[in-house]
Amino acid sequence: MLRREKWKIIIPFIVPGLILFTVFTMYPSLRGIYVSLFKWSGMSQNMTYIGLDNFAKLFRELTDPMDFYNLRTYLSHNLFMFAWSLLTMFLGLIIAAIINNKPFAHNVFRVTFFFPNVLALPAIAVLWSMTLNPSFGLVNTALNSLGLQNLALPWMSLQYDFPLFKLGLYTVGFIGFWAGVGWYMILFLAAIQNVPIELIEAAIIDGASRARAFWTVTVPLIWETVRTVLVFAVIGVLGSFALPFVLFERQPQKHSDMILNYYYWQAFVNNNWGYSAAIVVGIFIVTLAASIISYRFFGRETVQY
Amino acid sequence: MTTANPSPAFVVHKRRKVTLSRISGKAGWVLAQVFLWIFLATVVFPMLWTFMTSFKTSRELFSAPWSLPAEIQWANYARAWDKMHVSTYLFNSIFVSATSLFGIMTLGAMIAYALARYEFPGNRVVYFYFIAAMMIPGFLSLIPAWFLHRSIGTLGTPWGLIIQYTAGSLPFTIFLLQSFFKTLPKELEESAIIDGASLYQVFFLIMLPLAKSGLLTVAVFNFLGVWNEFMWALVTISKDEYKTLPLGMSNLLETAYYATDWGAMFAGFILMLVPTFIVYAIFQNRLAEGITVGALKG
Repeated sequence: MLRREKWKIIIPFIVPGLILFTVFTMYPSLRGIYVSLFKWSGMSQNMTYIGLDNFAKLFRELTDPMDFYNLRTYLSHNLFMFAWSLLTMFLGLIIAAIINNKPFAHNVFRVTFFFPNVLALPAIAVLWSMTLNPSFGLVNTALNSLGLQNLALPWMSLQYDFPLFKLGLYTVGFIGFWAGVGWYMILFLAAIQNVPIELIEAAIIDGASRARAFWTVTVPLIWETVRTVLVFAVIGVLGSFALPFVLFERQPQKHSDMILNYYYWQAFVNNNWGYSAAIVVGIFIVTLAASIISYRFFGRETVQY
Repeated sequence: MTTANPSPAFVVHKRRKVTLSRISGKAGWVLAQVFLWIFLATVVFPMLWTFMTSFKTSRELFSAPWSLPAEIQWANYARAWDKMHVSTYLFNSIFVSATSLFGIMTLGAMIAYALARYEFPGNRVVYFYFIAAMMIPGFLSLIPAWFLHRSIGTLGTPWGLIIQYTAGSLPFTIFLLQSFFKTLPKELEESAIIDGASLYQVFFLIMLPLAKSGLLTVAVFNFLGVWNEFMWALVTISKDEYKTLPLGMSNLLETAYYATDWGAMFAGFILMLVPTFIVYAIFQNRLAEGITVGALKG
């Protein structure tokens, strides 16, 4: 192929997308980092360079024990969601293991469990706030008619006390679980199906129970997937925004807001552009660190037989 | 000799152990199935219940939330379509998604093909330039992109959404399609060129049809991403006439609280879900495949 000929396809094929991507994705992302070094608030164009002061403020808000409803509280909500997503991951693995044994109607389970994943988060929020509505919702009316009035709790309430957090935040966690478990299931199912069946059969012939064969043969073999999924869970948890935002009526809520909700109020309501940029840069750094740690130091090598 | 012929006691002991574990295994299996059915109920019941409620009056919802509608209220759907602007949201979402999808797939496939098939200095650099962006959280660019669109006049219009969705979806698209194009045989292209086809003809008439399956998977995936996108739409779109379905969804609760028209709200919810249902019913397998490939390779 002629060299000139080759460039006739490379340039028109690559350049338009490259420009669009550079202008609207790469440039704004880099500028987001740049802006985090400035004091820039309000609609004015005045940006004052303040070095790492925004990050110092970020750190102060995270560590100051006096300032109660702040970043630290929001971050604790994110951590709570992370605990939920570990549970989700675990149950997703269990569900994948069960479905892989092809129980009755396993395809119905697979297709149904994955379905919440394709719904927009606002749709999920609307669905559950109707289902959990205290006066007509499916759950509480059922509990009441079964004589279990004590269990008919105000699920959406951010006043109702529960261990550590308000009940409403537990509900957010449950909804996250409900929406996310199918995703983990699909990934683990694909990984499990790649494990050579002979290895599991060999373990069973050697006297291991099915459960034991799963934990000692299958799980080490899919460790790579577990690790990848863990990184996705960290990214997902730090990116939580829409669920609490829509569920709790688009108001700042000190008992349910996550770090990105705080970012949203800072950026688009208070117009603290510089400081809010520092918040997302912080999230970016944590995300990067999580993936590096997972690949470098989460030392367990994938077993290959 | 005793080792070669184990005593009867030992055999019995072993057999009993096996049966015990089999019983506990069976119990575990039953328990596992019960767990699956319960979770299935948490997905199916709320869906069926909202569907059923969408045909009831608001009064019925409060007096008999579990019973079937006394009379099917088609009027709920009419009010949702009209007064709750579901029709507007739906058309906006279709327009934005279709246009973005066209842009993403055209630009993405061309770049992926050029990167997969042509060796040139900088090939790797361009590839990693796109792929690196998959590590960057989308909200990092939110504020600068907001100002950028304000300065070019696309802020708050569907075009602001389309441009941003197209640019933002390129990394994932290129990542998947590049590896897909690499798996296609080279011989067809070569023989086509010998037969006198131009390089463009090779791409549009030979490679694209060959890559149909990969393109479809990526397209379904991108469609859902764009269709469900919430945050960028939230911070840029304020006019009701430009709102997409996710914004409409989040409006829905507020509208119903003020107007107390719960019947129409449930109907609006169902209407907004119909496209997602259809796409899921048709492309469910491709979605699972796309997620697996996208997550495990990345």
